[in-house]
Amino acid sequence: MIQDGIRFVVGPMGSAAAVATKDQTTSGKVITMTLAFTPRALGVDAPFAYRPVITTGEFSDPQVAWLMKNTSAKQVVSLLPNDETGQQIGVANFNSYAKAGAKLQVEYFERERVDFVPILTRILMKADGLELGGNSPTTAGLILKQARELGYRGPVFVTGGDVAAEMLKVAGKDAAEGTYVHLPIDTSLPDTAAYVARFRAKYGPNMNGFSPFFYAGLQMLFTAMKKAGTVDDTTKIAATLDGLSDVPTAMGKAGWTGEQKYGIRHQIDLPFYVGQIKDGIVAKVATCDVNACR
Amino acid sequence: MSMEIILVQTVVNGLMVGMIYVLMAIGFTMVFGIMRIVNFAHGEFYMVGAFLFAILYGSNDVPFSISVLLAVGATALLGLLMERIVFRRFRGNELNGMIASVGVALILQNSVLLMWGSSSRTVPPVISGVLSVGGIVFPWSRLVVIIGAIVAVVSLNLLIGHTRIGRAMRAVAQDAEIAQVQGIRVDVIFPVAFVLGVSLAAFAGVLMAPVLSVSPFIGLAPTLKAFVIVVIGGLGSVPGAVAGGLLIGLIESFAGTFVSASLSEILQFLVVIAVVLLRPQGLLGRKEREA
Repeated sequence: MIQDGIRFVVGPMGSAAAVATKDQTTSGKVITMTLAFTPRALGVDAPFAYRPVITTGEFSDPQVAWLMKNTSAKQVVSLLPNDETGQQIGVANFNSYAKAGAKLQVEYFERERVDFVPILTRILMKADGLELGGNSPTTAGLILKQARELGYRGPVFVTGGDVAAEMLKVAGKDAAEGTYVHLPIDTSLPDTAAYVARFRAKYGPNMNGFSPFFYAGLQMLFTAMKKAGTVDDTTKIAATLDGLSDVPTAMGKAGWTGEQKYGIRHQIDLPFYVGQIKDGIVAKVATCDVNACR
Repeated sequence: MSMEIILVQTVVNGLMVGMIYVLMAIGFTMVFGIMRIVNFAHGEFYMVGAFLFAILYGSNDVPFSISVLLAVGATALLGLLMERIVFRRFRGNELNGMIASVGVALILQNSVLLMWGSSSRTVPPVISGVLSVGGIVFPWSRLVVIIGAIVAVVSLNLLIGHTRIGRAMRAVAQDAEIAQVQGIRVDVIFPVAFVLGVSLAAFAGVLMAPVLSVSPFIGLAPTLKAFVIVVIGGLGSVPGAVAGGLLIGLIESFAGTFVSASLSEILQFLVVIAVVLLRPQGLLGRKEREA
């Protein structure tokens, strides 16, 4: 990549790949905008790494606090894949539930597992809430479907990702009814609605929820290029990018945050939402920022 | 929930998963026993069967029985085609046959990916609801899997044990050359065995489609399980595949329920290592004859 003269990497690169390539992209002064949820993806040691999506670290605390306030759950269980991403999310969610006065028991499984009934039989015995955040939409749907088959009727939370559409397809409308999901975008905002309409007109109806985030990140990057007056000098572009705030994007006005958490302001700053599945449709029930959901 | 209820629930869970593993492993071990090919594309036939069933029954409302027949039949035809084009050339050539099967697996997976996309499909349950007996909950969708798998295994047992073609298959598995000398047409038995194995994999896919979800990537895990099971049960041994499948299913269920999901994977491979060390021919396999 460095030999090919790549200056920018923008796309859904996960935690493992982003962490593995961090040293090379930093020494090569490659500006990256990835989907890496791990806190290790950002930091003063990676001055060219940016994150245009909102991660567990940002939404977990306010969203869990709102969920625990608005439901009766106090003993929640979570199933997560046993890898870098799963373990990071497990720790973040455990801390968020503890802060909200609830107990989260995290159970890890091998990523290729598709039958969760044995684990669910055990962990649902003492649980009054099920957390599925951090799983792929398919896996979240499978777990939800199998939990309902076992007779679990308690609340289900998906604190993370944009899983609702695919999860609904896998679990079915009945099993998914009432599930609280993380809602990354609000399509009632005019700019976001316009982006979604353009996307669907060109690529079809299935738009991943992260798509407008990356578009917003690119809009910020292009703004920085224009202001810096270069498309090659990534040091100058990064310095300009760091200073941007209130940039009009497809998601509304965006800036950077994260100095307190990561030591560097390279985490995109945008609102996010809590949704609830009602009759197969996700309805927005709360609007959040990194401090609280309302 | 009392311990007795959890125990029964765990056994039923283990039996369901175990029976699917049995279906997968029988096809896998039959192909090896008769053609001496370790078919790593086996799970992709499971995936194709599940996908076709999802399209027919799930998306186009074709009646259940017709969907099953069409999905298994079309996958069997695909298996026949693959046997003719690829596997026939590697009979008895275990290493090259195994590499070719990996190639076929990748071709099948990517073909499905190109044709029908990567997103998961769901299939409505054949029977919904749960059977509740004394506080124990049995989802009907899972009971259907157990019943369907038992019917398939019993039918296969009758075919192998009590029919002319079954006896011929056993003879070829024991010694293809001697079988040929005795007048058995091994060039017919090979594709029959392959298609039968593929059909069992497709039927397993059809049974599991309403319980799990269907995507182009579901074939790998059952292939690995089938491989583990036939190593435990003995390569080429159908009773060994049944014993190994049920053993792995129950280990998965009990370890997952009472200890942890990760430990269940560890336990399975500890069993494999123990079998390979203590009884290399597998629990019910025969020792290879030395030249």
